[in-house]
Amino acid sequence: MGAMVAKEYASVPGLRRRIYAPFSEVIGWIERRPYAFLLLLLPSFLFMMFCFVLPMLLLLRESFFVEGDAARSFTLAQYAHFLGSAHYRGVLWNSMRLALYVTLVALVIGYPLAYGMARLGGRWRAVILVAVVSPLMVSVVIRTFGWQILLRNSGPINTTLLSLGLIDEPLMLLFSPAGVVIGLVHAYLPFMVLPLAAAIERINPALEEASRTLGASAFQLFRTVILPLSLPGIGAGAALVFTASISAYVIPMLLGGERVQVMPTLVTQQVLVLLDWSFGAAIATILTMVTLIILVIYGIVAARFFQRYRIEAK
Amino acid sequence: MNWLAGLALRATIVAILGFLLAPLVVIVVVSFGDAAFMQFPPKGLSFRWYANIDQLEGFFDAVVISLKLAVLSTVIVLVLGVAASLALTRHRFAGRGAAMSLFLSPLMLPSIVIGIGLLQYYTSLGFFSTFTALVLGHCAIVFPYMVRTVASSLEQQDESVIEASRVLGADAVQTFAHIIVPSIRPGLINGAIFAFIMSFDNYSVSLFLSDAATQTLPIRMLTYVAMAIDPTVAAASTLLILFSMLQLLVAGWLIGVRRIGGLAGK
Repeated sequence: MGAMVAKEYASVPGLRRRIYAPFSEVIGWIERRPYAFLLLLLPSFLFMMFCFVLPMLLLLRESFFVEGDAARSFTLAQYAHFLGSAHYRGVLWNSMRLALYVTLVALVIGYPLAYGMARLGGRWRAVILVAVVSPLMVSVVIRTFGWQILLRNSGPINTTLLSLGLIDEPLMLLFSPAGVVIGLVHAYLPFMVLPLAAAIERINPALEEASRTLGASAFQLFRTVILPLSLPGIGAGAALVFTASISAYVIPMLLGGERVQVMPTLVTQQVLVLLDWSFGAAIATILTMVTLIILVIYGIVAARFFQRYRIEAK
Repeated sequence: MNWLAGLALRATIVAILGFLLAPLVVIVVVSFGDAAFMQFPPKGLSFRWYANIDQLEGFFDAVVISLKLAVLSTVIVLVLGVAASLALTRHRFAGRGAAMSLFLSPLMLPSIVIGIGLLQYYTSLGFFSTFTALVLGHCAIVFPYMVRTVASSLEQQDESVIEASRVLGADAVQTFAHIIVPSIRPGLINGAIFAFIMSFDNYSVSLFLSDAATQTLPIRMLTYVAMAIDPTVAAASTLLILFSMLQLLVAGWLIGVRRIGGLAGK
């Protein structure tokens, strides 16, 4: 690379250099100012402050008001309204339960994929990677549309089960929590598989060989060596899948319909349909708190326990 | 026993890969159906739903808006992101960690919450151009991905090459153009492609910020899907799946399949 540039500059006769020289001086002058590099940071800093942080703080502030109160007095009424209502508490609980199911299912079906990616090598690795990542490239609206077709009463899943005689009447998959879980697992499986595969890859293969030589069965090997050592990956994947699932809007809306109300559909309804922004802001804040708490818990657990595993794994 | 476990693992993997591809496959198959309703498997073969796509109200307008939005946000975020990443990786200063956290902070919040916050903000500012609001909103959502990708490729760069360039008399801008950019090219392409896709597929911000005249493609698709009866929506979706696969191919061709994995981590 250096040689290439040296050649290029050597090939330019003095002319271009001479024309460029004053600019070069200016650049050098700017560069010599202490903290000149902050100029590079400033546009992004201003952008993020005024187009992200400030709006979010204003949203938080809005949650402490009551819609239509001209005096705009500070109150916790919105939060009391949410937590005091069995219906809203139910929505919050419902969201958390769904996200937990999604995390568990994603872990169970993500594990073989991650293991295959980390250990089968070569072609398997590439095929799994492409298959896991490529649905991510397709809009979630389209993927969910596909699930709508698959899960309908007259869809292929139900007609197959009916014709096999396994069920007598169509399973209610669409517009049910089960459908939402299927859709969410499909959407967020990569968030589980990729950190998990990275964690499994870090496990020293010699450990597996050693335990096999010492007579461990495949199951024992998995339970006593691979599973414990892949815990950091499981933790990271679970945190990502849980927070993504609890924040998802399109999938619960299209696959759950009216019957499955979750925090994102509730908050959207409050803001776009009922135009109660203060209550919407309070729901948004509660949803944010839940995801932040999950991330903080993950951070603490990772710092306290996973560091040790990482060292052992190497 | 050993090979049996291996076989079971491979069979499980194939089944799960089937699960991953099922919704996409079903859309493609349904779009070629002959019947006036969505039939799987279809009895007859027909291309007429593709000719019918222009019956979807506002589909092509939405494609144009989404493309404009994605290209604009990608360019803005690329410029901001490269500048910020240079400062963050090549200089050590107090508040560096805080700046990085600030730039990555949109990842911590549910995207739907960001959409609501931005709607309230731009409404209270009395924003009349929803397109500008959309661009700014998409940039905020996409920015962290760009910073992370570009910063990580800058960190991997060999310092000594940069020093060599400076010693040989190139100034900061020349070093940037001739040394830094070529060596972080995969990171830049990676970041740009991902930014484009994130913006093109975004619904959480667009849902709140777009009005009747600036409806983006995902928002239009959301309406179509909610009311889909015949396979026209499936035909439109198939074209969009094709477009996505094209992006993946371009990405794979430009930077290699292995690197694309770096795109996916949240």
